[in-house]
Amino acid sequence: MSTGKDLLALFHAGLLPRDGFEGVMENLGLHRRWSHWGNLLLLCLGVGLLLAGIVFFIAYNWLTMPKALKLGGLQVLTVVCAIAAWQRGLHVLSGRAFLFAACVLVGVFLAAFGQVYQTGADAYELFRGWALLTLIWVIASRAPAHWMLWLVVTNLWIYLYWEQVVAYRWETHYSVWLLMALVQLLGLAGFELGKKRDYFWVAQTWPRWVLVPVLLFQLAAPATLIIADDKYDRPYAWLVMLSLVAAIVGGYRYYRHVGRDLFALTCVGATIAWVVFAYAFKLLIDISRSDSCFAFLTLGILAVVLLGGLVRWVRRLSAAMQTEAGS
Amino acid sequence: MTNLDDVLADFGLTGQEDRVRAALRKDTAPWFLQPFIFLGAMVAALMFSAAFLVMLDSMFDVNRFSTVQLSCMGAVYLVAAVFLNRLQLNIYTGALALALSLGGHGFVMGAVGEATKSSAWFMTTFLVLLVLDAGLYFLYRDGLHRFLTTVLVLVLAKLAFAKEHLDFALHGLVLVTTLVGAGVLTRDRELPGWRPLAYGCCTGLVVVLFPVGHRHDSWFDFTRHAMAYPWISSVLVGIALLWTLHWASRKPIPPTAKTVAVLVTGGLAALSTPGLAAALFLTVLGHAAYHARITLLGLVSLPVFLWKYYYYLDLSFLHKSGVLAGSGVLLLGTRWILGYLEKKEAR
Repeated sequence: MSTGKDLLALFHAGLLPRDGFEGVMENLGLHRRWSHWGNLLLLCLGVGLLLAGIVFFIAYNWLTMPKALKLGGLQVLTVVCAIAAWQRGLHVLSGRAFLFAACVLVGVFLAAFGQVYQTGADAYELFRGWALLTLIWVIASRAPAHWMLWLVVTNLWIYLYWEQVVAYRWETHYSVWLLMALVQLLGLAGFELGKKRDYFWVAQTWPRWVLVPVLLFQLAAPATLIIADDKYDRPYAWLVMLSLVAAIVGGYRYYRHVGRDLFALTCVGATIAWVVFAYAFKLLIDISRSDSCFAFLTLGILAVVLLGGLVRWVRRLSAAMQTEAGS
Repeated sequence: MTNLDDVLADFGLTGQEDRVRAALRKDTAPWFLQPFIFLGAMVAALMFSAAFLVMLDSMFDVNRFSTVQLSCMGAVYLVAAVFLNRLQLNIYTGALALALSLGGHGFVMGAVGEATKSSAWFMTTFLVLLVLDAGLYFLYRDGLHRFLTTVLVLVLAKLAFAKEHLDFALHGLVLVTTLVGAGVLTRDRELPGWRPLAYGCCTGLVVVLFPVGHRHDSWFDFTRHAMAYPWISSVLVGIALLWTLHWASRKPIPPTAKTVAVLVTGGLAALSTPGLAAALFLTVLGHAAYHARITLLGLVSLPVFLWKYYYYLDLSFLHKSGVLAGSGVLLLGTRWILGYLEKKEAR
C-alpha cells in the first residue's frame, strides 16, 4: 500500500490538517496537476465537439449527398485509417486506435450500403459481413479491445440470425443460448491463451471481467427459465444444466489455481447462489403456494445464508490467494 | 522518500495508533463484492416483506392498507434497520439494514400517499422525509445510508418545488447544495461524519439541474417549466466556481489559467447554463479538495449537460453543426494558447 493512499485515508479520517497533508503530498510528487488535467479536458471536449459538428453536418447533407460521396467517403476514411494504423505501427496505442476506427467504419459502411441500396437483406447479414471482413485486422491488431468489438458483432450476428431465419422464441429455445455461450467460451479461452503466450501487445485483464459474467449469465439465464417452468423435457434443457455445471466447475478450477482471479471466482460463487435460490424459490412456492408466509420467510433466510456464505467464501479465498502469492 | 511513520511523528499522531489503525484498515471484502451483497440483501428484504404482508393479510384480510398501517410497517422497518446498523455485526447485516431502511422509506412514502391528495404528495412527502432523515442522519451511522437519504430528500425537494411552481425555491436549493458541498469539503480538517451530506448535496446539485420532463407525455412534465430565470442559478454556481478556483490557488495556478477560468465562468453565466457551470464547479472542487468521486461526478455530468445545451438549441442541423464545430475549435484553440503562455511563463 502506497504512502500516498495511506495519507489520503488519514486526511479523509480528519487526522491530518489540509495544509500539512498537501505539503507532504507535494513532497511525494503527488500534488494536483492542474495543467495536465485541464489540458486533457480541453482536448477531449474540443475533439468531441468538433466530431459532433462534423457528424451533424453530414447528417444535414445526407439526403442530398450523391451515393458515390456517401459510400466513397466512408471507404476513403476506412482506407485512410487502415494506412495510418500501418504507418504508426500496431505496437503503439495510436496505431491500434486507427485500426479500431477502421474496423468500426467497416460496419458503418455496410450500414450505409444497406441504406443506399435497399435489397431487403436481413440485418444479420450486415453483422455477418462486418465480422468476416474485419477478422484479419482483428487478428493482426493483437489488442483485446478489437477482439471484444469483434465478439459483440459476432454475438449480434448469431442472435439476429436466430431471430430472423430460425425464428424460435428467444427465451424458450435453449440452443441459441448454448451457441452464444460457446462463442463466449471460445473468446474467453482465446483471450486466456493469448495472454499466456504474450500474443497481446499490452496484457490486460478487463476482457476476462466482461466475458466471465456474460458466459455465466448466458448459461444461468436459461437454467433459471428451465427451473421456473419445469421444462426439463425440452430439447437441450439437460445440456444447458450440464453446461452450467461444467462452466462452474471449470471456472473455479481455472481461476483458483491458474488465472487466480478473485472477481471471476466471485461471479462463479454468485452464480451458484443464484441457481440454488431459484431452485428453492420454485420448490417452496410449488409446495406451499404463493400466499404462504412460511415460504417467503424461508426464502428470506436462505437469501441471507447464501449471501453470507458467498462473502465468507470470497474472503477466505482472498486471504488464501494472498498467502500463496506472498509465499 | 517520505516514510509514513515519520509523517505520523511530524503530525503528532504517534500516540493515536488506534485511530490511525482504524483509518488505515482495509476491508477484506473486495469492492466488487458490495453490489452482490446489496443485491442479496434486497432480495432478502423483499422476501421478508412478502412474508410480513402475507401474514398481515391472513390475519386482517386487508384489501388496502391504511395510512396508519403503512406508517406502522414503515416504523418497524426503520427501527429494525437502525437496530441492525447499531449492532455493527458484519457486512451482510449492514446491507440488510440498508435494504430494510429503503423498504421503510417506501412504506412511509406510501403512507403519505394514502393520507394526502395526489397533487400534494410531493411536498408532503418531502417535508415528512426531511424531518425523518434529519433524525436518521444521527441515528443510522452509515455513510452510504446518509448519502442516499440526502439525495432522496433533494430529489423530492426538486419535484415538490417544481410541482408547486416555486421557482425561487429551486434556486435556493441550488444555493444550499452548493454551499454545503463546498463548505464541508474545503474545511481545513475533514469531518468524516458530514462528508456523506456533502456528497449527497453535490449529487443533489446535479439532480436539481438535471433535464427531466421535456416530453409532453412524461410523468415529470411539470418540471419542464421549472427553474425560471436560469441565469440566477448560473450566477450562483458561477460565483461558487470562482471561489473554488480562488481557494484552490493557494497552490500555484498560472495567472493565464485564472483569467481563462473567469472568462469561461462569465460566458457560461451569460449563456444561462447552470448545469454546465455546476459540472465544472464539481470537477474543480473534487480535484482541489482531493475528492476523486466528486471529480468523477463532475466529469460524468459534463457531457450530459453539454448534450442538453446543444440539443435544445433552437437551430437547424446545419447551424448546430457550425456551433458545435466552432465550440470545439474554440476549446482546442484555448488549449493551444494556454500551453503557449505556460511555456512562456516557465521561461
